Amino acid sequence: MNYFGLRVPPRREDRHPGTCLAYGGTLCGSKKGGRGCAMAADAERAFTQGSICPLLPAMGMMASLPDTVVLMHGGVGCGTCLHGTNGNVRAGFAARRGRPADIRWMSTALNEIDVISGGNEKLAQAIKEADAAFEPKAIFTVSGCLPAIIGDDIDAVAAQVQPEVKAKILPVHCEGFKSRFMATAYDAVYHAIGRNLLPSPSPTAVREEKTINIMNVGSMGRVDELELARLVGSLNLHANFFPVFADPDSFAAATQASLSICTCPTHDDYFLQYLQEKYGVPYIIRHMPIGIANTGAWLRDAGAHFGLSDIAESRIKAEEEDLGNALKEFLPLFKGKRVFISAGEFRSLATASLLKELGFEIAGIRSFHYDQFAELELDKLRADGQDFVWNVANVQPFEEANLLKRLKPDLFLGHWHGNNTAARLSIPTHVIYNTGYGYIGYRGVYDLAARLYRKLSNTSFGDRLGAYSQLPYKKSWYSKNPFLFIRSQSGEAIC
Amino acid sequence: MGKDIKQIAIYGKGGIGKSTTSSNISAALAKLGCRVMQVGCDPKSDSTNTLRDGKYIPTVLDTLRAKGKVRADEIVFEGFNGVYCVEAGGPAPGVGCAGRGIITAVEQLKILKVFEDLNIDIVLYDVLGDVVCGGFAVPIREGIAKHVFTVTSSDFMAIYAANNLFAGIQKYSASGGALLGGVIANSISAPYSKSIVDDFAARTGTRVIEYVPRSMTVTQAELQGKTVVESAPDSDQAKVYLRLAQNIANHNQSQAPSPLPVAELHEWAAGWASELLKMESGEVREAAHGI
Repeated sequence: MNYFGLRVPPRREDRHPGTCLAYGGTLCGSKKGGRGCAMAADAERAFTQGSICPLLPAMGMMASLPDTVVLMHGGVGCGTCLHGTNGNVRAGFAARRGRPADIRWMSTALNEIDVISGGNEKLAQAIKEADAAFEPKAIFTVSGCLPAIIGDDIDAVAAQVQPEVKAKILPVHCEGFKSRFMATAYDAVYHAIGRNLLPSPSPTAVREEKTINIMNVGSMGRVDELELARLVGSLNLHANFFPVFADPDSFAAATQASLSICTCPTHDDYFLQYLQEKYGVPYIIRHMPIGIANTGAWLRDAGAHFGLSDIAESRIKAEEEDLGNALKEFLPLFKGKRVFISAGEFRSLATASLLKELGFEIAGIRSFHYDQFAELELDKLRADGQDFVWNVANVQPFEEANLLKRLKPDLFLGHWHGNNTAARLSIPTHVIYNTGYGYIGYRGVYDLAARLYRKLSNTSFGDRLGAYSQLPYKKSWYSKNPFLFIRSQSGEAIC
Repeated sequence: MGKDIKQIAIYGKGGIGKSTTSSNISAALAKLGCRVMQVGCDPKSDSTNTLRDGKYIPTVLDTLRAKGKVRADEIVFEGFNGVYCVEAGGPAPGVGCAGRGIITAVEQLKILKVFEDLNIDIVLYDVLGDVVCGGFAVPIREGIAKHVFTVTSSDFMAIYAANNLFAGIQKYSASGGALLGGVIANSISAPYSKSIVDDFAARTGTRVIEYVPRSMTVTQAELQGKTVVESAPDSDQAKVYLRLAQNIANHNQSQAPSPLPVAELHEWAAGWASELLKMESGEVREAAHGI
C-alpha cells in the first residue's frame, strides 16, 4: 500500500507504530524479553531541552537538488536552517558538477496581515517570481507551521499557478508541528517527488538490466558515492544516485532501474515501496555500508539479486584483505579506547560496528530515534554479548552531558553542531557529518581510521578547551539518573 | 488619569440580531447624550451599516493591508447622531484567520488611542457569533471590555451559543476578563419564548435585562438602511431600545456566569421540548395560547 494518491503524506509514527524518541538504558536491555528497562514506544520526556524540526532534514534534502528553488511558505525566519546547510550544498555541487553553487531559496515571509487574510495569493505571486528569476526545473513550495495552522491550500495554489510557470511545482507538507520524528521529513519530500517528477507507468518502458538505484543521504559526500559506484561497478553494475543532488529530470530513470538499494534503512522505505508497486522496481532495505562487515553484507545483497554472488564474494575477500593490511598501523592506538557515538539512528549504530572492528570499546550510543528498521543493526551489536549504554533522544544535550561525565569516553563522534558538550568536557571529538571526507564502504573505514588516529595522537587541543570552558548545568544534575525525565505516557518513571 | 470608559461586548449566535441590537443601542445611547463608538468585530463588516444609511465603511484590516499602518481618521467614521463607527474587517470566507484579525484590529485601536482622543463614554464591540477561537475572545479578556451582554432568542442553537460564551467568560473571569452583564432576549413573540430564556438565565446565574419583541418596524428600518431609533423614533420598538440603552448605561455590576455542562444543557432542552408538546396537545392549556 502506498500513500502517493493522498494530498498530504502520513507521519512516520503513524506508518510505523513503535517508533520511539525516548529510551535510556543499555543496548541489551532494550531487547524485548531482555533484562533492564525494555523500550517503550509510548515513552515521553517530562522535560525536553530541544527537538529537531522536521523541516531541517527536509530542507537539506530539497536544497541539494540542482536547478530547483526551495520556496518556504511561512513566517520570516522559518527555514533559516538552510544558512547552515549552504556550505555542504556548495561543496556538494563543486564535487558533483565542477563548481560550487549556493542554495536557491526564497520565503513568502508571511506577516500579520497575511495570517489574517490567508497567504495563498502571496504564495502564488512568489512562485511566479521564483520561476521568472531563476527559471528552475522545479519549485518546492514548502508549508511551514503558520500556513498549516490557518489552512492555506498549497496544493490548490500549485494547481492554479502551474499553467503560468515553466517549472514543475512540488507542494511539500512538512510543517514543524507535524511530527517530532525527523524521518517524517524524508517521506514528505519523497511524496512531492513521487507525485510530480515521475512519469506515468508504461508497458513499453525500457528496463535497464544492469542499473541500480543507490539511495544516498544528505550526510554522504561525493567521495562516498564514488566508493559505492566502484563497488557495484566491480559487479558490472551502473549506479544511479537518488535523491540527494539528483537532477529533477533524472528521477524518471529511477523507474527503469532493476533494483533500488538503500544506504540508510530508515531513509527510503516510503519511496522504494512506491517504486516497486507502481514501476516494478524491487528494493533492498537492510544494511548501511558503514564498517567492514556491513559493507560486505551490503555488496553481497546487491550481488545476490543479480546472480553475481561469486563475484561479490571474491571482491569482498580481496577488499577486506587489502583493508586489513592498511589498517594495521592504526590498531594498536585504538585498542581498548572507549568511544561515545551520537548520530541519527542508523549512522550511530553502524558506526559502532565499524569502531568495534577497529578495536574500540563502545561506551555508549545516542541515537536520534528508534524504529523497526534498526532491529537487525541492534542484533549485530548485541551478538558478542558486550553491553553498553544506549540513549534514544532527539538531541537532549542535558542527558548527554550527564552520560559523558559518568562514562568518561576517550573519544566522541557526533554531528558538527553536536560536539560542543563533549569538547567542553575535554573529550576528543570527531565530526561525522563532514561530506568532504570518506566514511562509507571500505575506503570510508580507512579514511575514518586515519582521521581518528591523527585525532587521538595528540589530544592537547581538547584538554585545553575543557580546562577553560564549562557546561551550564548544576553539579547536582550529574549525581542524578541521566534518564530521570523519561516517563511512560501515564507519567511513570521508566528507567 | 483618564476617565473610565465603559466598554461593552455584545455576543450571540450568527443571525440572531446582534448588529441590529447593537446599532439600536448605540443610536439610543447617543440620543441619551453619550459619546458612543461601535466596533464591528465580524469579517462581514456590516455591523455599523444601519448607523450610516446602509453604507459600508473601510475596515481597519483593509486599510492596514493597503497602507501598512493606519491613522484614526482612516478607520473611524461618524454615523447617526454622532455615533463613531469602526469595522475590524477580516479575511474573505474560507481563508486566513479571522480570529487573528480581531486581535490585530483591537490592538490598532489601543495603539491609536482613539477612545481617549475622541473622548468616548461608551464603546460597544459587536462580535461575530460563537467564541470559536482565542481571537473572538479578545474583547472579553485582557481587560478590554468590562461587561458582556449576550443576545439570544429562545431557539436552542442560540441558547447553545450563549452557553458557550458563558464558558468563555467564566474561563477569563478569574484573570481580569470581562463579566456577564446579562441576556438580551431578542425576537420574543410568544409567552413560552420568554419563559425559556428566563429559565436559561436563572439556571446560569444571570438575568434578562430586556425583552425585545419581534417587530415589523425593525424590518422596515433595516430595509431603509437605518436603525429603528432613527427611522421610527416614536415607535414602541424604539422605546424598547431606549429603555435597553438606559439599562446598559446604568449597569455597573456584572458577574461570572455558571454555564451548564453540555449534557445538562441537552437535558434541559429535552425538558422544554416535552413541556412545549404538552402545551401543543392542550395538556397545559393556560400557557398554550402562545403556540
